[in-house]
Amino acid sequence: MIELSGIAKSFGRHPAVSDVGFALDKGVFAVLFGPSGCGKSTLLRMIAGLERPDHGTIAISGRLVSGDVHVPPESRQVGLVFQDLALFPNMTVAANIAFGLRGASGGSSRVEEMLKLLRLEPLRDRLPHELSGGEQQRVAVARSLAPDPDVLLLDEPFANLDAELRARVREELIEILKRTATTVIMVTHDREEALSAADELMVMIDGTLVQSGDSREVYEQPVNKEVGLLLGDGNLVEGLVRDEIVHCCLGEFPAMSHPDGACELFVRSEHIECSTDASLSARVVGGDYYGHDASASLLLADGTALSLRQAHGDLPIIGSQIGIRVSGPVCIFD
Amino acid sequence: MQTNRRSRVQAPAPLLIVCSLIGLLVLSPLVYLFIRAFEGGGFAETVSAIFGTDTLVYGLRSLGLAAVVAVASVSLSIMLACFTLADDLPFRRLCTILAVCPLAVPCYVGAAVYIGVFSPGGLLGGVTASLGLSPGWFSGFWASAFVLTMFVYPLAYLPIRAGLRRVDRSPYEAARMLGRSRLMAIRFGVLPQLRSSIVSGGLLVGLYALGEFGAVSLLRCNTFTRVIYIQYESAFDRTGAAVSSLALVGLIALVLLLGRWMRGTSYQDRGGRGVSPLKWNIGHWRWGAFLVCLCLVVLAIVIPLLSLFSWWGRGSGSIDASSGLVDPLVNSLFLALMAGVIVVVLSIPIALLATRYPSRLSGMIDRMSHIGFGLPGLVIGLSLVFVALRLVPAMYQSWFILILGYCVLFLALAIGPVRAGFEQASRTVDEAARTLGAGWWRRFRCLLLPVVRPGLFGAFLLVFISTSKELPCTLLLSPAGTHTLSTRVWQYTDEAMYAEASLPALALIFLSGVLVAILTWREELLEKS
Repeated sequence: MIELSGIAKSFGRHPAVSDVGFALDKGVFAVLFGPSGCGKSTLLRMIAGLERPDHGTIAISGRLVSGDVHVPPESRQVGLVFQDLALFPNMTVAANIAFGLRGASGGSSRVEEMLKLLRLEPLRDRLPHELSGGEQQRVAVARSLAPDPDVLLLDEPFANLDAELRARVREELIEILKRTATTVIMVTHDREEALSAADELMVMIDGTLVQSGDSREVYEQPVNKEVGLLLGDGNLVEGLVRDEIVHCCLGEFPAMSHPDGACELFVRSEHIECSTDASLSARVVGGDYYGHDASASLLLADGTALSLRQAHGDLPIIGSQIGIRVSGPVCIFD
Repeated sequence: MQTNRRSRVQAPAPLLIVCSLIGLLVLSPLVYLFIRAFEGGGFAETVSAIFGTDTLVYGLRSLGLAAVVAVASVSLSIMLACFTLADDLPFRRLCTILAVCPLAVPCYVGAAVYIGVFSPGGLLGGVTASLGLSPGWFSGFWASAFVLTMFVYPLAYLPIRAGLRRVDRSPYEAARMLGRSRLMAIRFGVLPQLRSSIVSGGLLVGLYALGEFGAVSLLRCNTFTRVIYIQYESAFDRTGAAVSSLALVGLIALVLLLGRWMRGTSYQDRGGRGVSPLKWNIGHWRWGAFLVCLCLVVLAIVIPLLSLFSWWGRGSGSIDASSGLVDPLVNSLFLALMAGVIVVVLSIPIALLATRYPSRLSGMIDRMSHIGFGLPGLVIGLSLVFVALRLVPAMYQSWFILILGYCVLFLALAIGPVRAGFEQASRTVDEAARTLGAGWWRRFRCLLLPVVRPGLFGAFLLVFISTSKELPCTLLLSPAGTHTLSTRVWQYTDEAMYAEASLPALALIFLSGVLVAILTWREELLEKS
C-alpha cells in the first residue's frame, strides 16, 4: 500500500530524518510516535509531497511518488490533517468538504456522505470560526477523507484540544477512521494516544525509526531504554550476567540469551508491587496521588532509587519500610 | 521549533524576474540623479557645489525645520493621545476622530489658507492691522513650522496613540509596587514601551517636513526643496538642481540613520497576547483637555474651511468653474485611480515574494521598492525629468511619466497593507489545498484573494488619497497646460488669487476628507472582526 525506503532529509547541515523505511498494508492505522523535533512531522510532510526527500523512495499503491520523480502534493491522492487544521476560513463546512472533490467523483453525494459519517449535517452552512474545537476537527477529517485518499496523514491532530475534549474526540475519530478502513499514519507525541490508537506503532528518535510493531509488544519489549522510557515510567538498574542469570539489586532473573558481562535492566514502575512476603525491603521516601493511580519513590538498602506505580490509591506511609517484588517482565539492555 | 526548520522554498523564476524589474524601475530615478549630478563638472566641482555658498545654510534650515516640526508634533501627539485614551475625556470618540482630521487638509492648502487669513481683508486681517505688522508677516521659518505642525502632526499621532494603547501596564505596576513614584514608574515602566512608536512617529513627520515643498514655497521659507525648485524653474540650472537634490537625499539618509539609532531595541514584541492595557483618568482638568482639543480643531479645520468658503462666496462671480474646478477635478480623479490600480498591481508580486519566499535577494528587492518612502516628491519628479529628457524625450511631460512618478513615490505605501494581507493567509491552508488537489490558480482565486482583498483595497485607498494630494511631482511632470486640483491651488495661491484657489482647495479637502473617513472607518471595522 505505502512503502518507504531509505528516506533521508536534512535542513542545512542539520539532519532531520535519516534512513527511514517501512511498509504498511491497506487499512492499517499506524502511529508515528516520538519526542518533539524527532523528525516525525518532516517525514509526514515528505509523504504528503510538501517536502522533497534528499534520498530514498516513497511508493503509494504501487506508484512511485518520491525518488527519481517528484509527484507534487496536488496529484498524490494523499490526505493530510494539519495540527492547526488549516480549514478554509472563508468557506462553509460543506464548501470545505467539497473543495477536494472536483467534477467526476460525484461531488454533492460524497459531501452528504461525509457530513453524515462525521455527524456534521446540522453544521453544513456554518463558517469554521463558528464551530467548536471538536467540530472543527471533524470538518478537517471530513475534508481530507472526502476525495477518498490512498493514505490519510494526521499531524498531531488533537494537540490543540483541551484535555477533556481531547480523549472523547480522539476515540470517536479513530473509531470512524477504522470503520472506513482507511490507511492512516498519525503523528503524535502523546504516549496514551499512540498506544491506544496504533495497529502499528513506529517509534522515532533523532530522525531514525528505532522500533515498530504492535503497541503492546513495543511497550513491553522496547529495544532500548530510550524507547522504554518514552512510552512510560520505568526503573533502570545495573546488573551482571553470569551463566545465563542476571544478578542485580532486585534479585536474579533469567538472562535470555544475553552474553556474560555488565548490563542494564529495565522494569516498568507498575511491575514493582508491594508484597508482605517479599524478600526485598525498601524505604518509602515520597509519593504522588493521581486519582486513577498513584506512585511512590522507594530507596533500597544499597541506595538504589526505584519508582513504583499502583492502580489503587492506598499508598504506603512515607518513611515506612515495605516489602516489594517484581511482578512483570524484565528487559535487559547492553 | 519544527516549523523553523522547514526547507526554504526557492522562489519561482518568473516571480523573481518580475520583482527585480519593479525594483529596478523604482530605483532608476535615484541612480540617474547620481549620474546627472556628477556628469557636469566632475566630482570635485560637485562636492564644492554641495559645500559651497548657501547650500549649507539651506541644509541647516531644512534640518532645523524638520527638527522643530518633529518635536512639536510628537509633543502634541503624546498630549492628544493621553487625552483621547483617558476614560473621562468629554466627547472622547469625537475628539479621537477629529484629532486625525487635519490630515485631510494638504499642507500647501493649509499654508495658502493662513497666508490669506492674515492678509488684508482676510478672516484675521484685522489682527495684522491692529498689531501693526507688515502685510506679509506670516511667512518664513516659524510660519512654516506652525503650518507643517498643524497639518502633519497626525502622522505622529496615529502611531503614538496605537503604541500607547498597546502599553502593558504590568511594568508600570511592578515599578509602583517596588516603591517608585508615579513619575519614575512612567519613566521606567511606560516610556521604554513607547519609545519605538515615538521615534517612528517623529521620523515620519521629520522626513515629511524635510521633503515638503508646497507649503514652504508658498511661505517663502528658503529650505532645500524651495531652492531646488527655483534653481530648476527660473535659472534652468539643471546640474545645480541635481546636486542640491543629491544633497537632500544625503540629509534624508542621515535622518533615517539617526532614527534607527534612536529606536534602539524594541520592547514591544510580546506577541500582543496577554497584555492588560494601562487605564487612566484626567480628573479635574478634563474640560481643559477638551478645550485644547477644541482649539486644535478650530485652528486646523474650522478656520481653513471658514475662510475658504468666505473667499468662494466673495469671488463666485469671477471664477471660471470649468478650468478652475471641473477639469482639474477630473484630471485628479483619473490620475489617482490609475496610480491606485497600477501601484497595487505592482505591489502584489513584491509582497508575495517577501512573505512566501524570504531570502536575501527578496529582502533586497523589498528594500529597493521602499525607496520612495523617504524621498520627497520633488526629488523624484526632478530625477524623472532627467530620465525622460535623456532617454525618451517623447515621454517628457506625459501622463505616463507622471504615473511612473507616483509608482516610485507610493509603492512603499501600498506594500505595507498588501503584505499584511498576505501574512494573514496561513501557509498550512495553502498546503492543505495542495493535498486536496488544487492548482496554483485555484488556490490564489479561492483562498488567497478573499483573505488579501481588504488589504488590497486599503492599499488602493492610501495610494488614491496620496496621489490626489501630491503636489511637487505633479507640478514637474504633468503635461503642459493640464492641471490637477493640487497644481491649481498652488498656482492661484502663488499669484494671490485666493477666491479662485478656494474652489479646488475645498474640493481637495472634501475628497481626501471622505477618503480618510472611509479608511479610518474600515480600520475600525477590521479591528473589531
